[in-house]
Formats: sequence, structure tokens, C-alpha cells
Amino acid sequence: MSATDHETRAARYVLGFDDADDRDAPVDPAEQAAREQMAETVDALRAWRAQMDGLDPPTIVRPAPRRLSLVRYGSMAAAALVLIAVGAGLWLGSGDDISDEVATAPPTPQSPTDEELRALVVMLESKVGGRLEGTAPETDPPDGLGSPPPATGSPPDPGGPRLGGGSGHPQKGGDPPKPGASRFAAPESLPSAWSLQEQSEIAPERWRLLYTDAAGKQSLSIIVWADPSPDRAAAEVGIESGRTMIVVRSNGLSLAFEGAVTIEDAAALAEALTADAP
Amino acid sequence: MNDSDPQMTVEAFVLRQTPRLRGLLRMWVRHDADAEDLLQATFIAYMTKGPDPAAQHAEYWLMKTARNIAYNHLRGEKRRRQREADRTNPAPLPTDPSHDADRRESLDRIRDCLGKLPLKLREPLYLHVVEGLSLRQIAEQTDVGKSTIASRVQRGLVDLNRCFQGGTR
Repeated sequence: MSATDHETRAARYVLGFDDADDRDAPVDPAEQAAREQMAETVDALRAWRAQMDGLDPPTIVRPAPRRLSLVRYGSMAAAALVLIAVGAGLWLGSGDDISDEVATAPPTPQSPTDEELRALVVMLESKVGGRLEGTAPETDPPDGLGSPPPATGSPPDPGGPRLGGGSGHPQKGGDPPKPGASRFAAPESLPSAWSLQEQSEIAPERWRLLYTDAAGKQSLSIIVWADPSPDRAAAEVGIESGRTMIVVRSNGLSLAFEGAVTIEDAAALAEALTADAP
Repeated sequence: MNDSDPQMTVEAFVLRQTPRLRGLLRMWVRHDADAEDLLQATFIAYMTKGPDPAAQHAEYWLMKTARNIAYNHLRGEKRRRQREADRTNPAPLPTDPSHDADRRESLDRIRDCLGKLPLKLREPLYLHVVEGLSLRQIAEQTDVGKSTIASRVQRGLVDLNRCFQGGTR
């Protein structure tokens, strides 16, 4: 009988898969040794599992109801409303190149009024300490809804915040996107002492940024990608279940903040990351 | 599966299930830190939409959910390869002064060997040998035939043993 046969028979014995009638049959020393080794392996596996009993329990944070989150983080909710409204084609004014689909999109019953939009923009700007600025296509001509906006930058729109849509066409008071504008660039310096450790393009138009805090104890992973669905809500701010994750979408860029990050930090980071590179 | 206690709170249920789920998740994803994240995700899912802890199927629900979460994680592993490469070593297990070096080494080795087994062998072996699930229960959970499960458990143990005993798997 080969060693492999001994192993197989020993495994069947230890697992209880063998015939009960064979249990009392005499075994040769090689198979007996294989049985003992097999039993030792099983014991080790169970011991590995048993050590889990001594580990600390997880810290469970109950997911907060979304409504409460929005109330608590009112300014970020306001940002979401602004961006959703813009994504729905309700931005004030229109450009020559805006598609008919956008221009004629009927307002939803929940759409905020122009005055409400302005008030929300003010709230948002005060929260992030500046303007939350989107980026625009680098070279592709805008073609309205339905086309994925490239995640390339254009100079800031001096006319005011321009969020959502991804078409990059001039909004009210804004300038048209300039070809050849700089690409996305992660700022080296961010609020709350987060510092950039690594920036990598993990897929076309998709970047991963790794930040750590000043003490180097906490890390923050940020994924930035070109939003392929400009007709979707152009911005979302929320906490997704399981871990702290804040997703901000603005004008063709999406940013997911994952890790030890506060809403306030995320807002500031979003502002910094979506601002046009120098 | 749950020895039902009608007064059991969600927190108590979660605490009681933690070691078991932690072991399962570490077996599935083979990375301690990731397993902790998935453990959190599992419990959050439970608190959000899980059954009452006193329900008979609460444990099953939790295990099934953890498995789904782990499999989703594994499916996304390829996309996270770069991040994984940055993590050179899994988080060290808590040190216990009472453990001698041999025991420590033994636990590390069995963990490594378990991680080397392909998932199709690793999962049924663990569920049967450690979790005590019957072949039929594993077959139901994994949608694989009972005889195939038995074969995989047996083969998994042989391979694990070769590795653990210093073989050249």
C-alpha cells in the first residue's frame, strides 16, 4: 500500500468516512502514523479557530437612519440637493451645446427653486470654505446627457459652482471648458493634516489615493473615477453601510472616501480634489 | 441552529456569534484585516435587515450573509490586487504570553496551510471539521452535491495535512 493510500485511508478514518466494520481491523504502523498526523492537523485547525474566542469583539456601529444623517449633516445634504438638481438638467441658464434632452427635461416636483438653489450653494460654500468646483472634459466636445464625462480638468468656472451633468458646457456665468486643461491631480496638502502617501491609477480614469494622518496611524483611501452616468443623481453624500464611506459625485468625477474620515473632512477633501489643478 | 433565547438582545447575539463568524471569514478571505471589515459589514447587514436573534434561522441567516459578503469580496479581490500587494503581512494575532513558541508556530502554519487550499476544498473542510456541519448541510449551503462535498473534505484534509506536516504541497 502506498503512502498516498495510507493518507487517504487515514483521512477517511479521522473524518469518520470509513466503514464502521473496518474500525476494529488491525492497521499497519504506517497507516497508524498517518492517522495520528491527520488527527494532529485537525486539532491544529480547531485550535486556530478556538483562538478567535479570545479576540476582542468588533465595534459595532449601528447604521444611522438616512433621514437623521441628512438632518445632522445638513450642509452636505444641501450639497447633494444642489448636485442632484443640476444633474437633472435644472441648472440656471443654458449653453449653446446643451442637448435638447437636457434643455427640455421636465423639472421634477421636488426640484428646488432657483432661490433655494442659490441658498444651498451658499450653505455649501460656507461649509467647505470655498467653492465646490467640478471638472470638465479635456478635449472631447460636450454632447449632453448619456456620454461618460472624462475625468480631466479644466480651469475653474468663475461664474459660480458648476456641479453635475458632466457635459462641461458653460453654465450660467461660466466659461467653456478649455482643451488641454490639466488632468486630475491630487493636492499634496489637505485639511486635518491628511497627507498623500500614494497616488495610483488603478484603471483607466480611475485613481486610488492613499492618505494618512499626521501621526501615521489612520489611513484614508479615496477612489476617484469618471462618473459614467451623468443622468444619475450627480452627487450623493451619505454613509454606506458597513463602514464609513462618503461618496461625492460632481461633474464627471466621483469620489469615495473610505476610512476614518469625518463628513467635514470629506467635504473639504472633495473641494480640494475637484478643484482644478494648478 | 440557534438555541433560541427570546430575551436575547441583538448585541448579545452579535457577541456570541463573533468568534464563529470571524473564523469563517478568515477562512474564506485569508486576510485577517479584511475579515474584520467583512465581520463589521455582516453585522451591519444583520442589524439593518436581519431576523430577530431569537429566530431559529438567525444563525443560518448570519452565516449565509457572511458567506455572500465574503464571496463578493473575493470577486472584487482582483480589482484590489494593488492594495493587497501593499499589505505585506496579515495583522498579527494578539499575543498571549501563555502560548509557547511551538503553539504559536503551529497556529501560524495551519493558518498558512489552510490559506493555500483552494476555496472549493477549504470551505467544505472547514465547515465540516471546525463548524461541525454535516455533509448534507454543506451541500445545501454551497449548492454542491453531497458526494462531491465528501470528496472535497477528504481531499482537503489530505492536502492540509501534507502542508502542515511539512510536505511539499
